[in-house]
Amino acid sequence: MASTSDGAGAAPLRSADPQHNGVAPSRRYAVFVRAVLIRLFGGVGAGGLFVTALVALLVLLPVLSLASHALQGSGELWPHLAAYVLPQALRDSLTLLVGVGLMVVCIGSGMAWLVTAYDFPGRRVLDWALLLPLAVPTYIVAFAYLDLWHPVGALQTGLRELLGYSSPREFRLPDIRSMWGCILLLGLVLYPYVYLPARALFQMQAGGLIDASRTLGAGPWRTFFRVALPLARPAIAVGASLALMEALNDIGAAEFLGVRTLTVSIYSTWVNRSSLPGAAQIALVMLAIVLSLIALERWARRRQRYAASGRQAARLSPRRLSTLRGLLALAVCCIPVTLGFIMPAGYLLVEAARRFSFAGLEQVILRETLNTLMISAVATVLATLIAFVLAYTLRLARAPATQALVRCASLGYAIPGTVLAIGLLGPLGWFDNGIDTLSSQLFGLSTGLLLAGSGAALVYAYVARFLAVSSGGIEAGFSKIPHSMDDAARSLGATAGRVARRIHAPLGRPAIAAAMLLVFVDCMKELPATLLLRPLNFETLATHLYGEAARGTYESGAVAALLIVLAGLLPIVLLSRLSHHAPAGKRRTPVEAVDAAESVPTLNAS
Amino acid sequence: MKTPDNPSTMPAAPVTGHRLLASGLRHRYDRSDVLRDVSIDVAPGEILCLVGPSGCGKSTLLRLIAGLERVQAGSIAIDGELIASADSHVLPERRDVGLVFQDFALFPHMSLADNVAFGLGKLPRAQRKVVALDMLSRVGLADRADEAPHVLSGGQQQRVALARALASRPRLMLLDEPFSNLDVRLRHRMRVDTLRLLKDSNSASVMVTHDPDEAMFMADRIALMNEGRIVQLGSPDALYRNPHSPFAAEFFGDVNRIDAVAVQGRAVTPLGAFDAPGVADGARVQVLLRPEAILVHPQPVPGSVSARVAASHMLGSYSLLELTVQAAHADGGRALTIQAQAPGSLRWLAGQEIHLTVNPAGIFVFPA
Repeated sequence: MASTSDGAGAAPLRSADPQHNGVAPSRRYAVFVRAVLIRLFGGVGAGGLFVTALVALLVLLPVLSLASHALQGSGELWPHLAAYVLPQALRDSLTLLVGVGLMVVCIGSGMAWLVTAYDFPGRRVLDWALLLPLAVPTYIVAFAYLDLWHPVGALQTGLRELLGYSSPREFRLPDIRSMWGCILLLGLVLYPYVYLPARALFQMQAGGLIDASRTLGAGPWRTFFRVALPLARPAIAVGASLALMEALNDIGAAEFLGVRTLTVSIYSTWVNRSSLPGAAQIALVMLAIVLSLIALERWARRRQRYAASGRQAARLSPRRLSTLRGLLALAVCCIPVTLGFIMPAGYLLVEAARRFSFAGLEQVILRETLNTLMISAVATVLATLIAFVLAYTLRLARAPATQALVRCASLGYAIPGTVLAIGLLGPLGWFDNGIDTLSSQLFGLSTGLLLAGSGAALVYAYVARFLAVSSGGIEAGFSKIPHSMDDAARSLGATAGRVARRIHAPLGRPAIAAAMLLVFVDCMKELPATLLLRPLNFETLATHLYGEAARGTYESGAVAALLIVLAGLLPIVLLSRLSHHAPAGKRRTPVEAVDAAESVPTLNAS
Repeated sequence: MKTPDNPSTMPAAPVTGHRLLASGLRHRYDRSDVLRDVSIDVAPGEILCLVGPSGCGKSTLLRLIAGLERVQAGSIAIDGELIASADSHVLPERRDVGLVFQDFALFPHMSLADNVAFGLGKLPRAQRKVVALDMLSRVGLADRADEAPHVLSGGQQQRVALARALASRPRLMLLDEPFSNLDVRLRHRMRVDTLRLLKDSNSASVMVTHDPDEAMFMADRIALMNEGRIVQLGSPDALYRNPHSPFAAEFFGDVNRIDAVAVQGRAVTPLGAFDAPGVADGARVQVLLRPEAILVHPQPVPGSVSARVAASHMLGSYSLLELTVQAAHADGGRALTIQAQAPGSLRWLAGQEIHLTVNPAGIFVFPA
């Protein structure tokens, strides 16, 4: 017993606390249950917990439905799938993943090292220009190169003139419609996923260690391979896994280039054979690959704590290169920017201008732009609201079960769009038919396909898929707000809701705005789920482009593609602003100073 | 919930204070006990300081009182009204408790006036502003009411934090290491100002600190905590002059520690024999002496022991001396090194021979 100096003080307390003596068994049980719940979920209000659980359920619903459909079996289709479709799809997908993985790691970490460790002409521009290919979705780079690389297209004709050949029969480059073409193109637009975190790590964290390695006599190669690269491994692993998820998610590029990946197989099994169980079976295989990717990433960053030691290390000061070497470095860095952005974007610009002067601004494009903006805006607002609630719930309750629920709710980013859409088809059909039947019976009124027909299904898919982007961004923003702010506001009489409104909403505003922008652009670019879930005759810019490419009428898709690329540039502007035009002069609140390194995980674009 | 001091009337004179009573608090994180049966009471207008080494549970105790953690066992009441127990939890925003943080936790997107007015939601809008300005003028910052917190110095931010917490006249003030982010000179001024503000408000206050000087300066009573328990509770004077354990003696000031053996109720050391009541003959004891209890004389005085200055550090008003005392024959002639404080007005040189007497008030004998 601790020393209470005056024992009389204990008396009034007992009268205030009468239920300790003679507690009824049922009450004791209730107390026990509540204690267990508090232990698991922390002191979250029922509202926040309910929303979190509901969102987690809704995000996981497609996966559950997928499993149940796959278990139903696809009848006689399965032997066919197992014998002819799956082996090839698996082989193609895995080859693609290995190839793209190698490419993004080499280009991403190599470029990051060049622009952080060395100073050469044009470095400052390249520093952000190397991010530009991120603005070009995989299906657009394939779309552009199909025409660019065509045997009688501008690229090869020019090359032949340069080399003195006169016809494609004498000289032509290998056909891009192949596995290596697909690997090359995907690698060229996905490497920034590795470049961004690797660069941030080299700059922010590795400075002192790299200097130490140099003073210990290690040359640049030895420093790179023995110090910088191992340090950056966790960052590279995160970036590479995001890039590979994108590669797996891609439908347009693979299909245009004739590579039969799992995604393409799922899509054609559903669209051409109308077999939901068959598509679900392939989708499950794909989910297994996603899970192994995540496991691989976790494994590759198992020693993250070495890299993430939070000390403010000295920023790496780049070493000046001689003129000749400087120009060489410049040339090397220009290759990915040129191939991954300037060529395809330039092509689109020229084609779009040509189309525009020929046909003017077409009504179709206007309507589709409007469609795209509207549906993306609705999904963005919804995703942001939900993400705000999730992030705030997580902050209120740092308890294991609540955290697990929030994590579940943001699992959608790992589910490829096609898989998500196939998984949604079942529940949507069931729900829409149920409502329709019910309404017909009760009111004699057919509702039609309420969710699938209104675009609600598409919004559902976007929110489920990109919730991780918004909640990750908002959580990162909240993490800059000290917990003592919450405690101070609560002790000053503000309820949890008022604290969210008065403290977290205003202080988190930059992070929330950035998250909204990322989600919005992701929605605009999304193709695979949109193809499967859009209402009849509802076209977005992405599906329009896909349709044109499928028909082989490239030129009129260029305007749509250009618009998507322009939208895709917005997050890159944001990113480079965050990483470069940092505080200088203007005093920032700690909350505003989000560094670019932390926005990486939120960047898993469509 | 009854709130005797209706904030809308806000009398200038102190109103009847409030009493905090926490009893039998136990708390576990993961698998370690953070609090093991802790009870405190704080009288109206009293300042209780919780001190102890880091991890002793003092901050957890404060968070339990504020309602930022849920009570696992035990209970907390204000004015006899239960606010927290294992199965009841009044939310922090309903406790009417003011809290001052180590990092001040001023809202960066609000002006000083808005910060101070944040907790005055029950007042009409016009009056909030008046009260906020009044509070700011009490901490001498009325003319900066419209500025943002980040332009203020640390001490000014601290004063705003204090004004904000006091503005709604909380039943209880809680302060969590409020001065630890300030530099040493500022810290002393802020102690004086804070003490005045707390005493003016007449609220019961609980302050957490790891700094014994701070606790002694601010507290009416100090609760010394260690490993989740209150090891001693009393006035600063009592804790300094009458520590119940070696831990308490060492926490509030430097001590010299001498191992000794009890002989006929006295602990025999090279510096003399000291009372060790109730200790069996031959039992080992430790004798703790405060440096200022060792009086240094240039010339021998009656009962003095001779020693040699090993090193001398001039610290302004006094010199810190490291002394070597030749042990008595019985102890095998081992030299004993102790620290003592000598008047700064005299010069002390290494190697000089000096003479010691001991003030029995600064000597504590504990069983080893």
